[in-house]
Amino acid sequence: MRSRRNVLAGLGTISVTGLAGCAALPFGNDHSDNEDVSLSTEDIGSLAWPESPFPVTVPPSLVNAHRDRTRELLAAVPPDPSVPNGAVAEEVQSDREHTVNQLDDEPDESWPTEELSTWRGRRNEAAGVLGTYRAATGKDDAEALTERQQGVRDDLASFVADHEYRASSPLEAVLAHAPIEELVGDCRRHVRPAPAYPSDPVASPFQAGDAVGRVELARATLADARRLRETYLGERSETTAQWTALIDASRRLEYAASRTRSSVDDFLDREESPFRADLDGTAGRWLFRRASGYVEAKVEEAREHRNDGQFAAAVIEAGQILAGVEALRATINGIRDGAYLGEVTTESVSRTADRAREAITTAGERDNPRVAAQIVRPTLGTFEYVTNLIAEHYADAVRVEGDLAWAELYARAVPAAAEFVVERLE
Amino acid sequence: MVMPSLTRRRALLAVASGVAALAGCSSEADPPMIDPQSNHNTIEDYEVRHVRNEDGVVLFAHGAELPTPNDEERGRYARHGRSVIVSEDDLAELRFGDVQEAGRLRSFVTETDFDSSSVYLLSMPVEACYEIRLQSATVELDELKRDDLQPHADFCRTHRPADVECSVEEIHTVGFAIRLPVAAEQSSGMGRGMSSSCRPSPRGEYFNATVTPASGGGGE
Repeated sequence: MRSRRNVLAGLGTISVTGLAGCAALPFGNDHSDNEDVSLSTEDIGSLAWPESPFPVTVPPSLVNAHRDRTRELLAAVPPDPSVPNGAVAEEVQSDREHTVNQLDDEPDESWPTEELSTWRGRRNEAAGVLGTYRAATGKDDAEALTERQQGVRDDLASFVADHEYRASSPLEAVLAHAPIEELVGDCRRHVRPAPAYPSDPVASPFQAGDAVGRVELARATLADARRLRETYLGERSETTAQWTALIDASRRLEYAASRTRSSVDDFLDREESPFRADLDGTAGRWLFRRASGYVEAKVEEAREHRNDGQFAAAVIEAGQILAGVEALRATINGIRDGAYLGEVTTESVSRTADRAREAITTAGERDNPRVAAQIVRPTLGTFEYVTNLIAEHYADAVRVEGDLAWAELYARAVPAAAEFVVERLE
Repeated sequence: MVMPSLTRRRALLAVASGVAALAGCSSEADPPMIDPQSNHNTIEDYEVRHVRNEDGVVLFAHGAELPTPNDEERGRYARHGRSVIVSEDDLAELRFGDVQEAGRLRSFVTETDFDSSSVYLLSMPVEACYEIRLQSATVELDELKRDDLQPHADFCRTHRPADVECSVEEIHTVGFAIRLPVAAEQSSGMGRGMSSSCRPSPRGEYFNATVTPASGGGGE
């Protein structure tokens, strides 16, 4: 099982990357006549993720490094910590125990990059426990932490200076280096000296623990970026720098995404409903909200990544915009033909989930499965998010059906979007 | 000549331009509309033959006689040629030069099946140290629906490689025969554009898949 913190962190990530554009629509209201529809996670079933998009096998040594380090950090905290403040002692003990219990727990993740992310989180927690314990027992780590931060920044700068997207083809450059780009961006964020280590760590031991944990997370993140790059290059005998090719492809796809998106410009950022039908209380309303919000948010995300030089990510996001626009077009046509406006029942949600799962699975089995897996990734987040909402009894059936309907339409556009992207990388 | 049906022409055009959803696919009474912004449709699936004559001769012309390259003003003007060929009759009205490059254009046009295709034929003078590249071909969709093919070709002009020996005084002639996978009964117009840069156009390619919505939302 995942810890509550990890679940919440996961939801936080999804809210940014998977559920973008969820501010209330300016038209209509959220009233639903279907509030009594009960849902269980069995009603929507479980989703098998497509194969990992990373082009080579990731060896267990990467996870083992995190596990060993996590164990080492926890070993420096006594199982029964002696801290004058009993509440602090209790929380340190509880957090330590929680993290210790995860040491032999294999994360339930389908992709090695996701598994590594889970282990970085555990390492972060372990370092946080140690940092909190040391602060609570009078050890001031401010100076050591500053040195560690500087060291990570130096290593990061060196890594980035050498990052020229070496790969055997532009396509593999996208697949191998997109997760590396993401790790570099994450590391840069984690290694910033804010929030600061407290000036009085005894008074604020948890703040101290958070600062220590964040630097440990930055180190772990950079280590994964380096090891993933080494792993990929170790499996390919002939590679060349693909940086320029990636920038060129990214630009071409940016133009394509922009032109394709312009076909639905009149359906984005709308003050009024573009439909004559009353969508209040229908799955169609949530579907349209999701489909249009996704395109708006993804366009912005791709722009930020291009500006930040993350061209592998921008290539994938261009494909996601193309699939998102197609999902929006199908949404518009469907609602105008009277679809997605009917009564929502447990059975209708279940059928929509079946179609979504089938579409997602098919997307990962067609040509270009690795690129398709990257492009279809947002629907995996949607499925996970909806499952969690149902499990926590927060789910509204109408919204769930709208979100799952979007996942289906989007996933069905993925094979064509993947082919479009791959052709422009050749 | 048996002309293809209008429906078939539209199908050919849809395939050629990559635009699956032609006008009329959504309810017109329910604005706004999905706008593919493709009234001036790019043809993606064309074939082209490109020739270059280094003597600067006239490659083809309408009528019985070709102007000679020695006729300075007239020859320079006559190097510009444009013709849309939608039938054997159109082809019969053209006269091609005797040089090998003109012959290659002529054979390309002759090999065309006008039941399913048309040819946009162009020639133009170019300075010896430059080259002209075809960048895109488009047709007026609305006119084509009325069986009137009005093509437009966009070119760009750029330096030839630096190791090409050439004189700034010399003029060559280039010719392009663009076989468009659309048929029509006539052509009442044509267009041509020339860019001074051959850098990629910022106009992006249009993506269109064929995802259809569920018939009843949560329905079967």
